[in-house]
Amino acid sequence: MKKFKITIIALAVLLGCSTLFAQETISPDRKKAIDSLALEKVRDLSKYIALVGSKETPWSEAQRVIQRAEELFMPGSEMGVSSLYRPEISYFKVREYFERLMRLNYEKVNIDWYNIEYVSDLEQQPDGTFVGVITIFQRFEGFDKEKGLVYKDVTKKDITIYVKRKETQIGGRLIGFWDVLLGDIRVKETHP
Amino acid sequence: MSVQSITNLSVLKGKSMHSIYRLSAKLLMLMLVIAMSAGLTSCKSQKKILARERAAKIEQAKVRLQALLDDKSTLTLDQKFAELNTIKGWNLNDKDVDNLIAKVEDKLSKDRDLVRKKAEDDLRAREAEERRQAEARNASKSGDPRYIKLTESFNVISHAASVDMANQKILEVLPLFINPDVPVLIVISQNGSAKDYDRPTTIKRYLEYLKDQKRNINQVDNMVFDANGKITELELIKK
Repeated sequence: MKKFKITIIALAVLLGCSTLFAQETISPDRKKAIDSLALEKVRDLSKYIALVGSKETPWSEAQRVIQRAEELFMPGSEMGVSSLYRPEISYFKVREYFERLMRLNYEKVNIDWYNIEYVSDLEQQPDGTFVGVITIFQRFEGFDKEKGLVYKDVTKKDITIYVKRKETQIGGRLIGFWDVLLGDIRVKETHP
Repeated sequence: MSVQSITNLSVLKGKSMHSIYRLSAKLLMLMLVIAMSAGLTSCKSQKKILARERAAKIEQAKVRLQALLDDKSTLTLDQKFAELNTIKGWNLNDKDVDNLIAKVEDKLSKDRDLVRKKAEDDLRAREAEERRQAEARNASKSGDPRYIKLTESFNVISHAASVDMANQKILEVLPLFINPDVPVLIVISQNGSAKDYDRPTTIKRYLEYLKDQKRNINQVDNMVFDANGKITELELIKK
């Protein structure tokens, strides 16, 4: 019983210490750099979506881009899709979202993300991970060969952002880096 | 026993009782006087002790304040302020001590200003040195044809008019590197020698990134070459 108590106390102390070490204090300049990095990843994603959505992008290029886009996300993340024609919002895994995007039945697709900004600042969690939410507005335009622009909408979406400090060995050196990963993308509103 | 003898005994007894009463009163008075005088003596000696203690405290305060004033102590500035506050807390109300306190306060304030100024000067000097080193580094890089070539190649890929043209340029650039998996590190922030990086990538992926994103937001900061002049490691920094 005594040994059990000691083990429990030791575990509690270890857990406390690991939390303390995980919560590295970040200077305002470093925090600003991390904020910018996360915004940049969202801009990267917007470009990947535009590329995959574009009918001019060769299939092999689109497949490679989907792979890169997938690497931006936490495993299992979902992307919300809405339409002016139906009230419900559908959620798809990242790869499925991109594959559906490639198969959209339009002659030409324009997808543009704008007003990309933090709606909830990155806040450090007890495990050291920074979590925040970035909101974006997406302008979608679908064109028909004969009729021209046949569908357009503007969707407001919230993207959960996770930033974690990681380390890797490169050329015998230990490199500390900030790994930005995107989480679920939730549709907040859709209008014409 | 006769009536006479009983009467005599009573008289005697009455006299004796009277004497006892008087004696007791005198004794009581004497004790009171002794007690009062003892009390007074005790009060006086208590006051003397307090006065002696205060004098000692004043002396101690003077010595410690003088030490602070003469800079003889090995205390840090914060410790000196703590020492001063301790002495002030004694509330000695002594003119000499108060004068010394005022002098020490003035001195420590000046010392604090000096320390602050020195820290600011050190920081400015450090920043100037870092700027100078960065300028020297950039100057040497700006003249290095290998840095120029790579920077231009990145610009060409990110501004290519078509995917084919970008791919063509990527094929031209890759042989500059020992292999397509050469690590590319991107510095997102830097404080002295401490650097924060983005997730490391490879040169092939980075060139494709430039092609996809159509923007070149990083500049070449450092390259590592092998004996054959091929790049084995590339470090970029946010513009």
